[in-house]
Amino acid sequence: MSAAALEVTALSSGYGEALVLRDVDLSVQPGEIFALLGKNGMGKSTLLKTVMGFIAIQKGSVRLFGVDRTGQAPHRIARSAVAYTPQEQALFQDLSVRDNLELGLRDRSHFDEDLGRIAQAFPFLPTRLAQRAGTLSGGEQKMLLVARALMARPKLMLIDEITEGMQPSVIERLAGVLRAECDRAGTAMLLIEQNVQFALAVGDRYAVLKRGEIVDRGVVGAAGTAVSIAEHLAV
Amino acid sequence: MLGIWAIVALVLVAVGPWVLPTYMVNGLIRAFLYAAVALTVDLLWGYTGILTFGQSAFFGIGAYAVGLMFTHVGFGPGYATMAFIGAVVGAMLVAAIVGWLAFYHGASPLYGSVVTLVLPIVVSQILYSGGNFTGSSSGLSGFESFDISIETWFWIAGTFLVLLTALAWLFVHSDAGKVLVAIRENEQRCEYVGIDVSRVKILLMVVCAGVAAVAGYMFAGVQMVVAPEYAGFVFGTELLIWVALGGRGSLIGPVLGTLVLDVSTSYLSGNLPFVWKLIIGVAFVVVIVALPQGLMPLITGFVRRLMGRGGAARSEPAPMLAAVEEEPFAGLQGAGSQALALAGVRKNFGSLVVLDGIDFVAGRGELLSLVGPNGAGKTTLMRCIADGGERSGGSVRVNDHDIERLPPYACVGFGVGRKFQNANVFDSLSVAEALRIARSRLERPSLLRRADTLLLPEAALQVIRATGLDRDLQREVRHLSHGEKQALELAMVLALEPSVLLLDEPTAGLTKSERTLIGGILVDLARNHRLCILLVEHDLDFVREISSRVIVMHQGRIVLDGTVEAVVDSELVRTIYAGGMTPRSGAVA
Repeated sequence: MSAAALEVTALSSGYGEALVLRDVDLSVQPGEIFALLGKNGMGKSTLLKTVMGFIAIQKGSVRLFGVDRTGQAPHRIARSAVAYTPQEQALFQDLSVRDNLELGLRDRSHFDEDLGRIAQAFPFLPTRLAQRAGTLSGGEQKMLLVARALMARPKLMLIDEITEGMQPSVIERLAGVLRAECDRAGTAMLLIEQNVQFALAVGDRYAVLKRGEIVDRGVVGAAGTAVSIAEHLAV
Repeated sequence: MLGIWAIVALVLVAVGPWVLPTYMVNGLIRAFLYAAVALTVDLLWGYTGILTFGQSAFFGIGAYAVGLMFTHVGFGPGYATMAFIGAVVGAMLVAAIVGWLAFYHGASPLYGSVVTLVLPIVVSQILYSGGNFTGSSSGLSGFESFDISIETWFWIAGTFLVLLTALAWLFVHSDAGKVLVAIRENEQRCEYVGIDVSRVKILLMVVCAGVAAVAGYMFAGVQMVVAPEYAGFVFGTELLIWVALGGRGSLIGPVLGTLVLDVSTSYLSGNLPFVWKLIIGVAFVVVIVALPQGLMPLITGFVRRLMGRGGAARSEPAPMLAAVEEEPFAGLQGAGSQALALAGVRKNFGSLVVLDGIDFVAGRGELLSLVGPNGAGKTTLMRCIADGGERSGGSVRVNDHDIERLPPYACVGFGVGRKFQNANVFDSLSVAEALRIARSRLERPSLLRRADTLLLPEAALQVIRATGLDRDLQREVRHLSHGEKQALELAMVLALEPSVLLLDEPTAGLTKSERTLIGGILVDLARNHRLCILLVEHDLDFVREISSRVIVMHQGRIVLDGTVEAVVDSELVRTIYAGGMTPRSGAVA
């Protein structure tokens, strides 16, 4: 078996002295979508930021495609074909839609081909390339964010609550595009979601994070999955 | 704690003239007065975020009031009093005009800084061109002044500085002082909780000008010489450097920084005239690069370790939470029936039309959901209701008030509360402080004290309890998760006790159970407190559960307006908007 796209071992991290993540083990295989679920403030976003190198690792290791990347700077992680779509505003608001899409690309020869494929989920994109990204609506900005990540042809995507603010029909098309990308290019995805329905519609495996620890994990669609998740997410 | 430090400082001031050599006493008098001005720079820049180059101008105005009065009119108790009044009132008047120019609604911070940069240049040019009246470049000297010994001046200036610092300390730690930090952090949010930001900034500028003028007045009184340089741009910039080196936003840092730098400058610039400036310059660059917070955090960290208190955790106790006594939102029930009335509202960005003739009326107790594809103009519509300056045409009436072109804080006064799509809060304040800022329109915050209870309407309390924020009142907002920030912002908006509530995806980032809870709170507000709630939401199940009416927007127009059943299940909504997803491999969510 080839190396995991992402392998996190006994990872602990946090802000200052307060630990947010405790001994998290998790791996995502190429071509797999892994859904990370959990209530607010449980450390889901912190996990992605730690993998990306934005938050210092206190203990444990992060391996990408078999290479130890523990403690590397974000730009080096990004160069190893990792695309991160954070939850907060992450677009260049004053640049055009096209500039935002092109910015991370080393090779622009695939631009039209890839845009055509991604536009199946987001038909507005090709028609608005010249518009300033900051003038897009909140939901459209989210779509641009995920489109930008896909354009980079990543091997691993870290996606933080991308469906927030998207209309239901777009979410459905997005699910199709993400699935197709995994199957076609073998992209691995680690996906944080509050929209459990969406997560289970695209995910292969899932885990539930509670106060920085994984309390449940399994295969989507296996018997009892839904009940188990519902229990962990309830108050 | 403050009292002990102040007494220690006063004792040091009292014994200073007996133990220090005379030239040191002289130098320190000047440094005390400079430090007082540096303190005002810290209030403006460090706390409120107004980068000002202009405090020297007010110091100069204070000094020249003395010079002009004592040279041209005469010296005596009456004249001295007149000069004092002239110094303070003159500086305050100039500050009011400058503030009005620099901080008009919507002015960019850069513009404000440029205005404060121009001020000392203009003032010193006026002094240069004043001929014999102002003494031009040589200034005024040799005038008769107070017959006070140098030791007494030391006590006066020292006590002035200690008391001023103590007062400023009380102020920045009071509830009103937190408003300054809130303005620095997020001016837009301040406007939307009903704070007239321009007015607060102008008031602060006026007070700081008065203080700088008093320092200038004493300076001229003791030195018996005034010159245009004291009102100039170089001095204004030096003040900034002292504040930055000492540690802006710490009060004590700028005071100590000024004292140390000014005294050592007068010592060493004699021996090392050119090298000294170079050393200061290099030190400045090093501090900016290595210690962007200035030298103060080093000192406080050291003191903390000495006293055995670790960490950056906030030491003050969390405030008690309590519900507002009288029935919240009570004043509304008798008011007219139209909460919100829009007629022909249009909005375009250049040739791009975002809203194209929006008309609707909403009454009290309505929970109106606004649905539509991404980019339909839903958020733009909310913006046009909460800020009179936003729309390109048409009219908006809130509780029978035409919002005309009024800014957000005035719309808040008519009863509007707006929650933004992306959590819009104050990162460096604590949860409790952020909530208190939201209450400042209804409960005037104390200038010197920090209240130990936090009064909130029941609905806001429910939101923070439901999301567990009540256990995190002392936590800094930046450390909250995205969903917790959303909940905090919702609680802040409810704390305004609005009658027209605009909520842009209020439950984004929250779990299903938290959404259900907040849905229940909103229904209660609409039914029992007669709020008019306008909600942008994508979760049609959520919309179906709580709304009393649904409006569908598409490409800047209203395409459907009706009851939940009629709209949500309509063919149109299904085709342009809704989707239906099933989990993989037949799992059921």
